[in-house]
Amino acid sequence: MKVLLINPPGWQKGSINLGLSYLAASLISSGHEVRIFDINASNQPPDIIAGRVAKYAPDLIGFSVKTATARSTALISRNIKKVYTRALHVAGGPHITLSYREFLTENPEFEYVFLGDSEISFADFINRISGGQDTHKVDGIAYRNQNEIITNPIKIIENLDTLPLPDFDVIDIFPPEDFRYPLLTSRGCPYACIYCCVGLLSGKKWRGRNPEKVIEELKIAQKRYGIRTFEILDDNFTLEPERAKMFCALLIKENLKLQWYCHNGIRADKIDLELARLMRKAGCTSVAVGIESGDENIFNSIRKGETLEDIVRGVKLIKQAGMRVVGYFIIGLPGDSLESIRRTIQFQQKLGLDDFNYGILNPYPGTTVWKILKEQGQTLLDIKDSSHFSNDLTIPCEFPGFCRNDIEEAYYQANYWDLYCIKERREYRCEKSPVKILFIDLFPQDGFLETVRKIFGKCHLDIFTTWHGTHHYSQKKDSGIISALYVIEHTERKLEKIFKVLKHLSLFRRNRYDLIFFSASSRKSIALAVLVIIRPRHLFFVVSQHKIIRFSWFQKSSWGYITIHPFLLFAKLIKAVLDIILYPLFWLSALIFGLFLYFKRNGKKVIFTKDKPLLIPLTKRRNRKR
Amino acid sequence: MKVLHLCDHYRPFGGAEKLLFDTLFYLENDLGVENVIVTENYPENHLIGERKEYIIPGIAAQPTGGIIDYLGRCFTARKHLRRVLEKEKPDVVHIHNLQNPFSIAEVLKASPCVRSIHDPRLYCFNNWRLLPKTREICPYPLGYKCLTEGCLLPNLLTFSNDGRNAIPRYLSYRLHRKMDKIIGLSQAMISCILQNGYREEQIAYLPNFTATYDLKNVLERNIRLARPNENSIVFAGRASHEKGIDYLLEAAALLKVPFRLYLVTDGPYMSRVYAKIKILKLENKVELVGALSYEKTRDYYSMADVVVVPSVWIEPFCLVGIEAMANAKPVVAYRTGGIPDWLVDGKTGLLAECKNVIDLAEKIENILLDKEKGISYGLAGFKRVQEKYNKDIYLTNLLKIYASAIDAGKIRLRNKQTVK
Repeated sequence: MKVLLINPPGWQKGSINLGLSYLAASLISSGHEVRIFDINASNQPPDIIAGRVAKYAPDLIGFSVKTATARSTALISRNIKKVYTRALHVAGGPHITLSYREFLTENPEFEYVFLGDSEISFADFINRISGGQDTHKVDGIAYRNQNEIITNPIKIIENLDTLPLPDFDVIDIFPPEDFRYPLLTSRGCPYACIYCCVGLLSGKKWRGRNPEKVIEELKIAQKRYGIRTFEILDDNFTLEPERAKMFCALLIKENLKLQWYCHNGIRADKIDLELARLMRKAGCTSVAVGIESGDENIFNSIRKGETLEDIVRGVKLIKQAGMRVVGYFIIGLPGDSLESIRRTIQFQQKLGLDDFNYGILNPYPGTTVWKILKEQGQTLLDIKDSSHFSNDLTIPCEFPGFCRNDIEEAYYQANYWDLYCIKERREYRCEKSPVKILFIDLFPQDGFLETVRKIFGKCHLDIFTTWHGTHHYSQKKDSGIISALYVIEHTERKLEKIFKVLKHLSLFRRNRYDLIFFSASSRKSIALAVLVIIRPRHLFFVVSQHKIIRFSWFQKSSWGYITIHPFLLFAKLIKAVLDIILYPLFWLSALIFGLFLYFKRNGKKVIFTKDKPLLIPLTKRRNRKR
Repeated sequence: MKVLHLCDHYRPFGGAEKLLFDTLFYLENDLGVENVIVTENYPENHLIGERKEYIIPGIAAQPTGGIIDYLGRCFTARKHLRRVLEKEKPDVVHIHNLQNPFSIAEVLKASPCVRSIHDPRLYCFNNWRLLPKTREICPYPLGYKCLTEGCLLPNLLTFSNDGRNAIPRYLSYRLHRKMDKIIGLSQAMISCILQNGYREEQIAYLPNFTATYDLKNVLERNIRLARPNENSIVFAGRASHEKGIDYLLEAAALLKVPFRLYLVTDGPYMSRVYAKIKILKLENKVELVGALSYEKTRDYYSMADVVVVPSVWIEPFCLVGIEAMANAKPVVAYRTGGIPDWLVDGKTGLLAECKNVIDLAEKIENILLDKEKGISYGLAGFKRVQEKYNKDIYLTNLLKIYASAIDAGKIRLRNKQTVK
């Protein structure tokens, strides 16, 4: 059978839908033809997708649905149905498992949905269709029977080692940019965190793969795709520390020279120094820890099954082993308030994390938090319209004592705490003049201006940009958001450009700004020039619309924005030395080329007349001699 | 047939890229041609997944970051390109905007090749064929005049960007002598290609095409989107010197009739455009729309009473003109480059003397004052596009060019092997 799997848009860019790759492998091993359209990567409009689907002409189309992609799934499915009616539409994925009844009711174009892990049930379903058998007896499916929705119970996959390895070759856009091999070594999580839906999706029963099989998978991936990095996507990688240690030991033994990350979060209470050191030795460079809240009462109320002391200890061990630590926090948990968020921010700063992320609570259907919301809170937004695992500010719900405006305020405080400190210091000193800000935005970071306005209110905001940002910022200037706009005009000559930049920087020095923001994607040499020439009181690097880093000479981590890696510097030096040594040669070749051109006097001159272009010989003197 | 397309930009960027995407779409869907894309590793270039796509870093490398670095990138790219060619075995390679001599040499070695010329970069060291001192159109071929007219002399010895590019560009210029087919978009461009020493049998004339629509729908749309109380002028294109946006603003300042000028534009001249609007006191008459997709730009065409193309360089073709005509709109343009090919003066629009601001203003005013005449020009333009610049004619001719390139390429490759 010809099966098309679709990864709809609306999810983190650059990510691979591992679930679909597992399904594809499972179907291929049953002898079916499979392709995956990664629309999240290609971002094509629904009518184009429909055209592509019709061209491929599948018998069945399967959609992987996350809550964030539920709307786009319905839109794509409807568009496909308009031009291509031959295929059966089915869906699966986290959103389906959580709210399949609502999905089936809202989307009549879908006939069947698959709940939980579907590698076995989906293959069984397709085998039955191609064999002309009854499909209603497949485990873990739900379907419409007149006005009723019939659900078959989910059968979890006990032995993950029996599943075929994920197939990425069938994805239309592969490998994506910045490809990190997605690795799953276990599924499920036995903990009962009130905000988490993993237990509902993958089951409370944790199932780990044999570490040797996992290493085998990595070896194959290295051979097949030439991978250099991988990312562990487990819900709970360290639940069995001994198994994790065994995996790391095998990885060290095999010496695959792979760098890896644990950005899906590990439990701080399940890590010890031995495991941390083994992970580091095995190539792990960065680990994320789900902290959620730094307020002890809130932390205890979310039933993570660990304590804040465990978090402090875990973070310390990870740092001790030499890995980066990223902390994940949630704003808007039941009982949260502006004060509790301030305590969380203080806790986060004490931890000394390398990076952190504050997200707004999303109450997923079926979770404890969702039940609390139904009883005590208020829904502000359909969860399908909310942002998921991203920094975009959407507030889907509020609980008593922490209203929408407070959540928004808390979000800005948590993400831009340094700016709030500056603001409060100014208020303390009773400085009444509007804060004077310069934003050096040589590669436009759209959207950051709104953040600045939100935090500082009325301020004097100047922009320094290239022609790329002229149109965007000129409109802002016309609407009064920007006070002055400085633009470096386009020029082909490097020296002229450098001179123009330096001239502007000396002007900015005289303007005496309170704050300077610098888009981090701009050239590092300009950042250094800003520091040396303007000598700003506060310099922030704008990494993205939602992320800023304060520069300090005393913080090694912020040096990365003005310096380059020693290896790169060395390579650049070697290149520069070679350029200098070979400069006479290049100059000579340029001179010879110039002379060659000068004495090679042939060709014709073109003259554009009203009727048609005419070609006239160029070298009149030679013609006369002839 | 399998065609490998070699291009630097693989995103809706300008006219050349729009043409590339339209060509790919119709080749695949109407003619069943298998397309393979090989493109540069620019951050804006993204894989789409509709066809086989390869991103090879350095495929369109330029020696702006240092010569050693450039050579390293080119050799690596050449190696990757060779692998792709061996794997895909295309019947013909279609080179779009790409000047890297290393990549061109590699494809010439392996397969019959067709080259589309979208701008004068093949035979001009400073890209636009405008003399640096006077900013007049350069009538000379690539050669000693590039030194005497000041296009190359300081740059070559001071290693500025154009100077560093000079030798690779000259190599690319020489390599194109071996090209099986070179596609010129207009008579002006073909004259320029011939002027630069390419053989007549190498050159194929293939003007651009644009999507064509049903007249009834177009007229309905024009009526729906028209602004009857306003004289709307539309400019669509890059904000840069060669596209003549500053001449248009000067001409607008001379107009005696009330009007509103919509600039669908973005580019290196944006700050100058803003400044010029202020100097000429046109703030209330000009609306800067920014760069838009074709679908959205089409709304502006439909709304316009006249579309202006004030280009002051040897315009290779100018897709905007036929897009406006496909939407039954009159065009006023400067007489330069390939514009007279599609704009029949006094029939589908009006031609003004190049760089003559007063003449341009008069021609625009003529149409704004006599809208009936404008409509008749628009209808004539619509008919002309339907007859001459539609996809069927374009694709048929393109396939013929591919076929003749394959024949010529086979002979060339066979002769090469015999010599070896």
